[in-house]
Amino acid sequence: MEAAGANAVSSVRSALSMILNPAQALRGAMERVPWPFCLSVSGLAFTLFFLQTGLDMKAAGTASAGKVAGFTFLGLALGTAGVALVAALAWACSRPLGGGRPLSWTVRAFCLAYTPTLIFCLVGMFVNLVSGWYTAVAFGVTGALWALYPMISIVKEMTGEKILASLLITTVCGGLVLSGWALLGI
Amino acid sequence: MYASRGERITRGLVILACLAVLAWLNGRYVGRGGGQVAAFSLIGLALALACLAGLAALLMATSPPLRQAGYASAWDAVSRGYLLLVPFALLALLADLAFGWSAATAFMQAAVMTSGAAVGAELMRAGEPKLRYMIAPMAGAFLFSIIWIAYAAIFTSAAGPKAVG
Repeated sequence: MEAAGANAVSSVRSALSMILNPAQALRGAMERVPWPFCLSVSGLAFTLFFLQTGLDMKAAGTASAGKVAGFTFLGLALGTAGVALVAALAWACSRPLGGGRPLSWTVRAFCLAYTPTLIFCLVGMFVNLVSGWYTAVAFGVTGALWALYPMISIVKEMTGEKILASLLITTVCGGLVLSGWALLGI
Repeated sequence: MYASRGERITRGLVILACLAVLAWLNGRYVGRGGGQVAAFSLIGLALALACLAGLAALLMATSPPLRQAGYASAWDAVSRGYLLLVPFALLALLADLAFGWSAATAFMQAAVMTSGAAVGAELMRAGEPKLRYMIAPMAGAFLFSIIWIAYAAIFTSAAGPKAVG
């Protein structure tokens, strides 16, 4: 029981470290952060991001309640399966560059990279519901962009600090996720 | 710790190019016509470079090890962190030109703030892993971000209302 509690605290600490000091989180025991926790971070982040997109469109009169619900599920899919696929792509790209991290580590780290997105989307959701402002771009896109910082730290770790390759892989991965939102959500 | 002259020049040019792209994308929403967009971009680029130089000076003022190592060392930390502008500039181009989003300001703000955090991480990597190393780079990046918003607002009001349609 105590061990489970300590593991939960350690998982939350790893996720929060991703916001400002991802290198510290990556040096820690990433393998011990449970799968469901990692997937729930990115899954919830994109669920809220897409929900805000739907709410913005509903407020503008371009989406029905059913469409909003549909967007929300698409967000969940992008935040879990989509992020895992992008992580697998980054892992595959880093292999020829000397990347020694396992795929499971990469997927966990990529999912946790969306901790800043989750925080931005939680705040955006609150602002959206309280004030009725359009928040998908201001909070959702900004949050998704903040994930690039932990993402580049992860990729640098995977490529043995090869900066040019890390910048390119991060750009492609970030671009895929943003394009996913653009194609599915708009 | 010290970068070679070649590395320094390459990093400087990459950062310059990224800032130019972000300033131009911001300028497209602020200026009226090519002249104003060019003026916004050039002044914005000079302002952004001044902010980065100021950030390096702030780091030097607040960190005794950097003060001992000299301005070049502080600039190295700033330029390594601000290489993170590359994905932001490329994605801002994608978002603006391919998807037609008017989110250049969001890209600029996020780029400046996350790069500030990356500078902090560089300092922590070079020295002790203490979160206090984050304070000056994040404060500097926040100031840079505020200066950029103020600049865009002042330029917009000076340029007058944009023609609709």
